Amino acid sequence: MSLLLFEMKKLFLKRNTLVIILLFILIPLIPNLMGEINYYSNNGEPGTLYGISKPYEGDVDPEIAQKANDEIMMVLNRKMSKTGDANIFGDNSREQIDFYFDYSNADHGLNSYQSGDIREKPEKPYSLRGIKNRMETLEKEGKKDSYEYVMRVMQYSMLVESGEPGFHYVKSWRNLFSFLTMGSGFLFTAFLLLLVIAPVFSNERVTGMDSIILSSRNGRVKVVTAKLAASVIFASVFVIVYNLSQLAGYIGVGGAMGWDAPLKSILGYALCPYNITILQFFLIQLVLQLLGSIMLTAAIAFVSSVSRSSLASFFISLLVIFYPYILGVLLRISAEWLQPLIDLSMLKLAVAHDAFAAFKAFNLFGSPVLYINVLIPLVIAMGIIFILLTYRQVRRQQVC
Amino acid sequence: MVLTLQNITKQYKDKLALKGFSLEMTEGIYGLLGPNGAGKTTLMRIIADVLRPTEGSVRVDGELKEGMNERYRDLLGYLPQELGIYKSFTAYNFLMYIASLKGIEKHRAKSKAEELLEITGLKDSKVRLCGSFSGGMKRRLGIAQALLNDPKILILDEPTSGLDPKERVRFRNLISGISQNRIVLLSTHIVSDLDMIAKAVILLREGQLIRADAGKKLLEELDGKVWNVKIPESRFVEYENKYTIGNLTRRDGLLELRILSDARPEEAACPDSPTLEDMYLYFFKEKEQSGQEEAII
Repeated sequence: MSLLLFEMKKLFLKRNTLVIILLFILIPLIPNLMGEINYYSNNGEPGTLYGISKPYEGDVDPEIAQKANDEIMMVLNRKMSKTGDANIFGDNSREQIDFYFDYSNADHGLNSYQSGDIREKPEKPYSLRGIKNRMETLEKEGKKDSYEYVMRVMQYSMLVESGEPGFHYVKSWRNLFSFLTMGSGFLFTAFLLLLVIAPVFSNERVTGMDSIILSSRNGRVKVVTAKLAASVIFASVFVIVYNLSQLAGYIGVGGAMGWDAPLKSILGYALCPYNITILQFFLIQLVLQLLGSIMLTAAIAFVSSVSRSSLASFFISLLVIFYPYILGVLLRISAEWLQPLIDLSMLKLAVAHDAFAAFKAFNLFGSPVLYINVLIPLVIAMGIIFILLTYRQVRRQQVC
Repeated sequence: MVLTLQNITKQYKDKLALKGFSLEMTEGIYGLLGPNGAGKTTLMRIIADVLRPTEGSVRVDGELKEGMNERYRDLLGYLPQELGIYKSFTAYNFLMYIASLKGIEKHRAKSKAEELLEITGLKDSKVRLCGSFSGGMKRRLGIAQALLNDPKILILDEPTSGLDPKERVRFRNLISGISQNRIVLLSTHIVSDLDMIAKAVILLREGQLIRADAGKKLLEELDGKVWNVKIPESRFVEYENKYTIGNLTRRDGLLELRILSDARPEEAACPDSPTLEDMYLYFFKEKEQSGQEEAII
């Protein structure tokens, strides 16, 4: 226990660590909050906006949706016509226009859910209509026993059972999730883990403490447990504090209204195959971020245990964490065989969006298994392997 | 307790650091002497269980260290040549951290840390951050951490480097005082550190054990080979080429040389008692000379 406390002290109380933690919380928080404050000062008080939206919450009404779309078109036309000082909102208040934008988004979400849009391809459908068409095609081709057919049946039934996207006032949550559950939100956590965990073993080599540690009774096994536990505690504390600070910031400015609305009320999650509320999703994504961060911590710790310098440990870990971005975004590699590698990475688990924004399944021995059900055990297995490799590495480590 | 090193060989990629080193050690202080690159640190690392030999074994009372695992490391106290210290830890916290690494129960660790801070003269700096310590203070803290678990095998790699003469005397007394029921292996470049305290001196050269015996016995070999001679400065080069010179002082316009030579260098030369420094020079110079001879042949 005392060894764990010392390892925690080494991680948490290093001169720069607390400053870095504070910076990594504040750097995204301050501009996000400034954006929120700016938004509400331009479009109306959260209470007023909620008051306008509240009577219309529930299923999307086609008539109101049509009116919302028309009003928005008029606003856009007035804006395009460059009539200088003319009021682009017409007879509407800015709060009313804000409501129309939200309602239009909800309508767009419902349309995507029901009949797709121009991005939908017949062979890769995501809307109810598209899936049904695909199933009919497969039936005509006599492929009812095929994996794809079974998968489409599953996709269709999950989408139906999870219900249609409706309209709810979810502004704070929508904005929170657009940061927190996307790559940009996890970027700060990932970099902090890199900065703090990457030297956890390698620094002992650099400072020359490795000789004393490795020659001590607990220097081959218990110290690894203590270092890993301290790192996991560090990662967990940061992820929780980071998430809660973002949550507090967003709902502090925009209010918590909409916490019990279905996740599908948020445009980006209209095709979510799960019937969960926004608060449930917040907690789920927090757990996934924790899990992903812990497993990333295990990976970084292993890299640290085999690295001769903290800098090498940092850069190798950087590759381990960000390879999905490096391959997909930076190098623009889109080979089909790479996709599972990217999809099943630790980073994808920590960034919950992809697993919840739409239906995704993997073909495991001919049966469709939901993405998240493959991702979680796989990432946990990877983490365990990294932990075991770290123990093995330190047990065999030599000072040359 | 018997620590047996049997045929220890360590091969790095292109360098043989230790060649078939065998020795048996019992309680007492062993001084490890040898020029840079002789394999002293490699040998100590192997005994400290931080480096695996390519061949050979380390046994305690006949039991292989690999089989003993934690029990073996429990016997160890190790001060490496390059000691790392956490700059943000106080001296006391550093010792408590090492105590937890050594699995020492907290209450005992506290009293032992206090005791060792006192012994090493760091009591007043107990709550100072290690980052503010001088080289000598870090070394003393290193010695303290090595002694925390009352080790039965104490390995000290250059423990006195960075210590001032007073601290070295204090260190010698400390080591001498605790050596009765433990094996102390001490490497040093300061040969006088071993005077009076070493039970045996181990001479290592190019990874090979060349001699391991009681200091007194080794010195006996030098009886009649240490001479003091006074010469005019103009003859210095001649002497330097011909003999191993241990010491040189200038007195009354003449040079007074301490010479290692099997034969009396000249009539006026006076024999003197050999010291460990003479012994070091004798054994390691001898090799250089024979090396030259081999090269000539």
